[in-house]
Amino acid sequence: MSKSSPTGPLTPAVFHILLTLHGRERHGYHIMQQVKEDSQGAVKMGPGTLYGSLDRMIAAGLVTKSDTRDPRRIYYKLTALGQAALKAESERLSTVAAIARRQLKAT
Amino acid sequence: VKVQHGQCGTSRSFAIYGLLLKLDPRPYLQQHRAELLQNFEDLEQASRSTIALWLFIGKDLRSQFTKTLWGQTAIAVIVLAVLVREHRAEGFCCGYILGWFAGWSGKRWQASSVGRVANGIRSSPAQAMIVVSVLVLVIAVAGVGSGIQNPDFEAVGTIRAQAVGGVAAMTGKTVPCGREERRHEGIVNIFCGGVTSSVEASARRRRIYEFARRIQVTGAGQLVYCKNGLWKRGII
Repeated sequence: MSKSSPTGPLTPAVFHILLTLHGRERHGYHIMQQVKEDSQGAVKMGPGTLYGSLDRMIAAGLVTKSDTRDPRRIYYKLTALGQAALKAESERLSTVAAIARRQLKAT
Repeated sequence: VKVQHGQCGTSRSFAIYGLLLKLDPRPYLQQHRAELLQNFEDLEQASRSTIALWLFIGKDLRSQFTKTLWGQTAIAVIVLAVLVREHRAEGFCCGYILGWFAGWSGKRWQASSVGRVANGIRSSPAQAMIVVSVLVLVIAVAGVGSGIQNPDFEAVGTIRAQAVGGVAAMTGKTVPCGREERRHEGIVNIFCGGVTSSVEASARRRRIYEFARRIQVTGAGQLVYCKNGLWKRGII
């Protein structure tokens, strides 16, 4: 994904991390717990997956580190691009879900 | 004993996790080691049992390992080494090259997976690597095939039975291509000109046969064999 165009489907891990960081800075463990809660246990992210995803999201400009004073508790927050990507993905999922609902009703 | 920020009173699980982290790439560790350890500490405190904790961590480590360059290389090498185990050198070369490519493309995929766009595989270097990998594989396979036509002896099997006192068995004998010689209880399969022959010999130098690509019995109980491209001499 380029930094200027937050388009295209996101992976579940990336989407959940973006969702978790919306409106609030969080550290790694907190993100993991929140993702588990938001997905009702469907997405269980381990530390390796989390930090791998965060690295890629930082590289893509979706997320940035906000507080690095304690190396054990680094906080992450969304960038403007991350906000836009979250919004775009939410709208895409809503559209897909609406289509799915329509088709399920039709059959 | 619960962990105190990884400084003192560390649990055994924490220590093991610290060791496992050393498998991760150095730049990744430099960036996240402290966070990962803190995370593990939090998970350990919240976990119901050590088994549940390690099941969770193991799943995570496994998925991470298969995404790393080394992990993908290792998997490709193992698979290809098994596929072409009779031809170790070729298997290793093919495995390494394909594994390297798999790791490289995996990294590219990872880098683009935020948007799930597999640009890497479509790029010119990626396509060039695919072509090179396929060519190397074809050449290696062709080399293996041509080896079958080589009139020299090739040991493709191992000793199938124990043998004793076989030193004198080959004295003064040259085993012709494709001819079967039976002297003692031990049997070596000789692959020559597309025909498999069995030669009995002593099992005391078993390793010679396992690693030999080509063998030639010259006499006086001596075996000349080719290992890693070098001709060597051993007593059977």
